[in-house]
Amino acid sequence: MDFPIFHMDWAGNRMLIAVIAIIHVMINHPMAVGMMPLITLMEYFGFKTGDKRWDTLAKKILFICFIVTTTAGALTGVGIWLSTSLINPYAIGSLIRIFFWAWFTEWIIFVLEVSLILAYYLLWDKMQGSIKSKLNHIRIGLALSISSWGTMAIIVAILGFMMDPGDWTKTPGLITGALNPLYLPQLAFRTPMAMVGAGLFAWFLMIFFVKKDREFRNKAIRFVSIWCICWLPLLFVGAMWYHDRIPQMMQGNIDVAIATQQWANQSNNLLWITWVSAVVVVVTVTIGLLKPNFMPRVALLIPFILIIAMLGQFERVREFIRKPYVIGDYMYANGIRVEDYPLLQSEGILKYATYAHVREITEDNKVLAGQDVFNIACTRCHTTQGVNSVVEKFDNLYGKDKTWDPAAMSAYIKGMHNARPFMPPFPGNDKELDALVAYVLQIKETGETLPGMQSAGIVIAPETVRRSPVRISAGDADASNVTP
Amino acid sequence: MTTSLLNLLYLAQSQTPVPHDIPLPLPADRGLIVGVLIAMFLVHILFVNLMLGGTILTAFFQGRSILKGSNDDDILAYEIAKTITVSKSMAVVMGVAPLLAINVIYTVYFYSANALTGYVWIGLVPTAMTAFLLLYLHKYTWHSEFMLKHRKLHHSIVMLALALLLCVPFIFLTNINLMLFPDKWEQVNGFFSAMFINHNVIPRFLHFFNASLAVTGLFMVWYVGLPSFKVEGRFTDSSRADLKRRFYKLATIFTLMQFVIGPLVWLTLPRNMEMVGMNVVLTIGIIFAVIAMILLAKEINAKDEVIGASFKPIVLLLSVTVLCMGTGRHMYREQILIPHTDDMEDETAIYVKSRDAALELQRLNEAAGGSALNGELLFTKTCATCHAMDKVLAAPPLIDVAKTYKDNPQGIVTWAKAPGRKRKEFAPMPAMGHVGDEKLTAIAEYILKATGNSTEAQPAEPTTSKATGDATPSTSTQPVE
Repeated sequence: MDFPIFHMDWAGNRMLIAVIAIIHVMINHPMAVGMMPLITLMEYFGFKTGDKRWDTLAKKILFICFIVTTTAGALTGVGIWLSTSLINPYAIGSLIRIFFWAWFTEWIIFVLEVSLILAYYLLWDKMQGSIKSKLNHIRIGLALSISSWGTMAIIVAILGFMMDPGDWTKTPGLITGALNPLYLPQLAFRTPMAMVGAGLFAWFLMIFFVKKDREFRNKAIRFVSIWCICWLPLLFVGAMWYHDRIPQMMQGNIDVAIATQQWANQSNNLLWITWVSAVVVVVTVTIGLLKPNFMPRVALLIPFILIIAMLGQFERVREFIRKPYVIGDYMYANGIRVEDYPLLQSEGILKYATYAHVREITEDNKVLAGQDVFNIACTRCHTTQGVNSVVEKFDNLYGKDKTWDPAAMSAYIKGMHNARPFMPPFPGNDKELDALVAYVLQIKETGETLPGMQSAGIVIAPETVRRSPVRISAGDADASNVTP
Repeated sequence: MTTSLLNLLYLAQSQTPVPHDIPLPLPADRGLIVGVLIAMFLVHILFVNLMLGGTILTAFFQGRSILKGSNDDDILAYEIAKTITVSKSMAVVMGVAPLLAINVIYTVYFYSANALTGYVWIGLVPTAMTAFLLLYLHKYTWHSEFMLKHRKLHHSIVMLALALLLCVPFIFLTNINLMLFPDKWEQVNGFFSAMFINHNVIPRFLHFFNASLAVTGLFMVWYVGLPSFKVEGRFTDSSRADLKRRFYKLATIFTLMQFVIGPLVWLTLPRNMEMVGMNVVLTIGIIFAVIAMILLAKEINAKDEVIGASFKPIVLLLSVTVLCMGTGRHMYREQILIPHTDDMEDETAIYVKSRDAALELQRLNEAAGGSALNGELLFTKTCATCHAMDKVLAAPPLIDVAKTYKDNPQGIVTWAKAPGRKRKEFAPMPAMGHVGDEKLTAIAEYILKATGNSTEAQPAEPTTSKATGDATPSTSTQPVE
């Protein structure tokens, strides 16, 4: 309502966030949070046993992680922020005001993390000289591990908050926001997930780094297998705890989250597949521990791909289960605050919109008004003809080749949040609802699309200008005297 | 008369949007956040300067070494290349704090500018990512056999990275320029039109470009002076003093050029009132820069044994200059936004008042309405979206369904919580567990009563819900086959 509306009418806005966020998590969890302690442990193990091969392997793995985390990892992290502020500036703007100090603290730890990884990698060879400097280098690795985990620990508080703000809506504040009931379970789930992911990724890299030395390769495989086995039980405990804590209503949505609505019945199968991959990971890791030389190269790839897929799946479910909210109980996914609803539903969203063609709906401007309403109320998740298209939704409901009944559509939209609890209630009044239906009917008919304001520009709603001229004439007293 | 004339003039120009601000208090004292913004932005820009300046110098020295076959140039290029990848990591991480601060203080302005330049703005991420990966590739393949044979190919990697890096400041400058002028937002259709809402972006880019080379020049004076930087036995044509002098010259030339570009930036700044405070601060900055220039000139002409003696004072003086420029820039930002921020605060206050009134009214209504379990009302809210009593909407009519559940409301509840799919012609029913057992039971009892499938009471008049029934022309839709 208050920001120019960025909208990607083909891919859908959520796609942009999803792509960036999933890449970020896939890099950050295994390659930073999980890998840094594993590498440090490997380095320490090599130092203790005096076997130089551990040191060489650890540095090689670190090199890959160093390159990836300081480029794609860091920039997708910033990218999540940039993309969310493009797509839901209302939400991110509110979160930043609530969590400024959390983000600020995270930033300090982030500075520490980047400085430490630069030191850890770039000084690896220089600090081999004496036992003392080697131990100091290992300490750098330890500090790096702690700060990598620390940045995740803080950001998870914010993620948990978005799903369930706990008591925050009653007593606003940073601490109540961070101590929401989902915080610890999420952290307890992500931490071992990152550790196991790191183990599997390290394992995958060993295929390339230890080719010839069969004996050492087996040792290394056994090493990461033990690492994974130590973390696996915690992973299951964390996953269960997390799942258990997700509020009742959100739990009801999970089966819809895993697939689309039509797939709801098959969600059990998907859940089952997730379990299968978990079992495959356990089996592979056990084989790696007991019979490491039994492992063919391809077999090493499977568990890694599976854990990445599981991670991606969990992120997807997490993104979905917080619906219909973008900030639980405070702001709906359309970016409109819950407390704004009574006003907007009675007086209309267009009355208070900054960017719209129409303020007062008439028979003539109905479709244009409907487009404004669609832009404000629907575009954060829906497109006209692209991904998650609104036309397609009604096609499924009423039939693609049928004539849709506007009255039935109005009735549907008005009550859809009850029937489909992942949808926010319609935020506007009845006139706007009719306008929206008229617009949807038109785009079904014509197949027209809706460009975002990043390319089409803005239209300022008619009378917002009323205040400014007065000020200008008062402030420019001299100028008005000069004017003949 | 004059007022209305001005009004007309105003309307003939573009309109100014006055959005509502986020109705949450700032998380900290505004002055503190401003302090974070100014200080951390300067640290960020220092590393950005080193990254860009370093990339330019690497590309330059490597290019010259390929053309003229100079070994010294190649060594120098590699030494600088090693520093870029560190600077770039620091540049990113140090950019987060000012970005956070600007997000908090200028929420509406910054996000609006971002949205208006959306595609290019988000394009920052892949652009910088690719540039960084290329810089690593360039650095870590420097001594590879393949690249030693194909030096021009190797050089083209850093040239490509440089081209990408040069795009980034345009994106940032366009955004932070655009955010200050809400009256121009209406003219913007995409990034390139946003770049030219006034004439300030290009001069600022040049200002930044010069600064990058000046800062990197000074940095290199320090870097080649480090004991760990080996000169003897490595460089054939230059001594340590020669290198220092060379980088001092570089810093001097580009600082000197700032005396031309700086005023150009100042002249192209749109202004809505006299900006005395800013001008005073900027002038102080310029005075410090002039003193630094004198010292720089002395350093360039100094003898080999003493060159570098004034390095610290020079850095100190120029730091003051940079701090003054950063502060002046902030003062400009604040002042240019004052009228609009006032308007926005007024609008937001009005909005919040209306919102609270509506909220209160709703509370009163709810209190008056009571909270008894009214099956019919719950049905209308929850089910009538898809089900009508005797018509096909998106789902089968209830007179049809209810027969199956005669005297069995619990059956309806069970089904509603975990629906199967009996009729393939309709989309599957979503699970309704979120409504809760109590309410679902009330709805089920109402359905059975209303359709005459309950023996407990007389069949009630089949009441079509307000939301679906009467308004629906019964013949116009047969939604699904």
